[in-house]
Amino acid sequence: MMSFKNMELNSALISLLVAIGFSVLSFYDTDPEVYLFPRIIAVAFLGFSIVLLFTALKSQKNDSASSTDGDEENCFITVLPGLIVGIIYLLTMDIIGFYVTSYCAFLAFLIIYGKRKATDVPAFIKKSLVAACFIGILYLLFWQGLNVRTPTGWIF
Amino acid sequence: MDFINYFANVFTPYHLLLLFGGTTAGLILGALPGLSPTMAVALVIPFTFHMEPASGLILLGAMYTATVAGGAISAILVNVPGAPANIATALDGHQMAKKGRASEALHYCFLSSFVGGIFGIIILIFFTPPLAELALKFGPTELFWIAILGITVIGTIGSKSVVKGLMAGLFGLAISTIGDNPMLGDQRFVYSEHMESGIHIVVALIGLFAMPQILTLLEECGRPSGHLMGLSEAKWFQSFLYNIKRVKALVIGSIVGAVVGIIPGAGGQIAGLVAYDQVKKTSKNPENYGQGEPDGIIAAESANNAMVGPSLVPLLTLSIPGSPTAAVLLGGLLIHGLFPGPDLFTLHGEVIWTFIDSLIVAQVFMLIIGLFLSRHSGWVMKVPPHYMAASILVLAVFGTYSIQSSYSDVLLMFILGVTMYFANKLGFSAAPMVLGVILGPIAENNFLQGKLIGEATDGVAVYFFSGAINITLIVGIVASVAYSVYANHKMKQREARKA
Repeated sequence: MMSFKNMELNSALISLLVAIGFSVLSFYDTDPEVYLFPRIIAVAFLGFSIVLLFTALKSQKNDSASSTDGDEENCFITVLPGLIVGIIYLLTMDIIGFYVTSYCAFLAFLIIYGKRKATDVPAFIKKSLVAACFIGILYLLFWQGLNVRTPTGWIF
Repeated sequence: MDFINYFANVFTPYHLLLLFGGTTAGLILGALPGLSPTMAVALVIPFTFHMEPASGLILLGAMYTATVAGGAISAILVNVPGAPANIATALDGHQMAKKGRASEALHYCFLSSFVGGIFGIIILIFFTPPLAELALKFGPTELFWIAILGITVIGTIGSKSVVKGLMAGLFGLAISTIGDNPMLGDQRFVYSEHMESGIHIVVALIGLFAMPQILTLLEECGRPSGHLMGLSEAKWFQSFLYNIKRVKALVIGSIVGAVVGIIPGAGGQIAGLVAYDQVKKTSKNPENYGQGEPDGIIAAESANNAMVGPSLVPLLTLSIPGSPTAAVLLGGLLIHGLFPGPDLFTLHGEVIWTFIDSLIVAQVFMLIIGLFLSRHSGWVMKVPPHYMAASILVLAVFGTYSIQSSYSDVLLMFILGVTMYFANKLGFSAAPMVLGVILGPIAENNFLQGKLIGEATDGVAVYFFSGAINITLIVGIVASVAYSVYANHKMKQREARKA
């Protein structure tokens, strides 16, 4: 798990890894003519990531470590359920159907992040209705209005 | 005068409906804290894909105009700027709201936004044609350097870290190379069937702007929100009479906004703050600023909207956006096959002048609807962030799918978005990345063409680094980087002294 301390050093290291990865993909076993522009980008990217690393190492010597550890970790924990809902939504939309999965994802967001508990029946009904209304509007807009035919999958 | 010839095109029922809808949606979306104008415009782009070019641009222009002004609503009522452009408005606007003068403050916002906006569009009308003429002299190398200049300026000016801004731009360029080589047709970086078509501009726009916003909104759940000020009774006509007498604030705001707008990459947040600072410095009572001084709001908001028109000048002529939202508009132009430059005004003159004329009408709609919302906007502030997050997620998915009816686009949008969310945490911003994706094909095409011509003539290096326009553009690139490095260095010294 990435430490949230020393954000500058982390960003420099990650940038360097991305730069190396992109350089390998651009240079290794590729046609020089086809990959000319990406290779130029890769060299520039590598150069900047090295500069970033030096800057981060230099600032680490001068400054104390960033004290936003707790805040950043709390943010990630808060966001994690939403991210999981999003991933499940993404993986199932093609299989079950765009509209049904969209409704479920919308409702899941309202339940997980709402102030009322999921067992609060009136609140649950209200959230279900809001989700249904929003998806209904999207159906009218995309399916009927713009003739966009989304995958219906098993259901719709 | 072309802008007069096509004015009637704006007054069709369909276009008026788009203006009304776009302005209303823009004001409401702009008022919602946490939703940036850039993201709002990016989300609307898929809808314009199915419209005629002029109609699509009218909708986008109305949204752009209105979101900038709408951000003042939350700035005043909740002390949370709806967009970075409204930071200066919050300084005095919220103080006025605390004193029971919220509606009056909102009146000043929309009235001065209208004045500044009209001034900005006049600049757009008169500056664009001569600059488009200049663009006729641009060959492949000039177009290549222009693309690099655009990315450099957006990546450096306004970025906390020059290196990260430039790297974000390079990353965008790298993403744009996924798919087919433009000259040879061979595939690059296609490791999955989902990447065969490359990354569509709109997929990148929505992924890089909307998706991180969803996760950021979820972060806000559970945090205490700002205290909402009530809306007081205030007659708009009295506010209007007061507003038009504040000539100095209006003039300073409008001129600052126009100048900042025309500078590529600067953006609205700088316009508002600079105008506020200038009007305070020239005031006889600077101690009143920050305590509820109307001139602070008038200068800031007139600057914000005066920026809109001029930010389109370098965009429509040279493909260099004057603000991050203008960068999104560039994507909107390209998906309709409208390429910035002199051809835009010759081959597509009717479309572009109709669009520019519609911005004038959009200002009128913004004023009328904004004044109405001044009395009825409290409910907008009460929308919980997780409702907004859920809405944006579903809208982003449907909007992305509707472009090419491709599930791969949705997958790529999601991956880009989550990556951008974490990249934001590491200090990288989306605007240069998006511009890299948009301008990447232009940069590469012209680079390859320039290379071919250079090899056939005096040599590639000579071809790319000679000529007055090339040298001017290269100097511009170096100057923007040098200026940003210098400005960041001064800022760090100031912070070190304070600590």
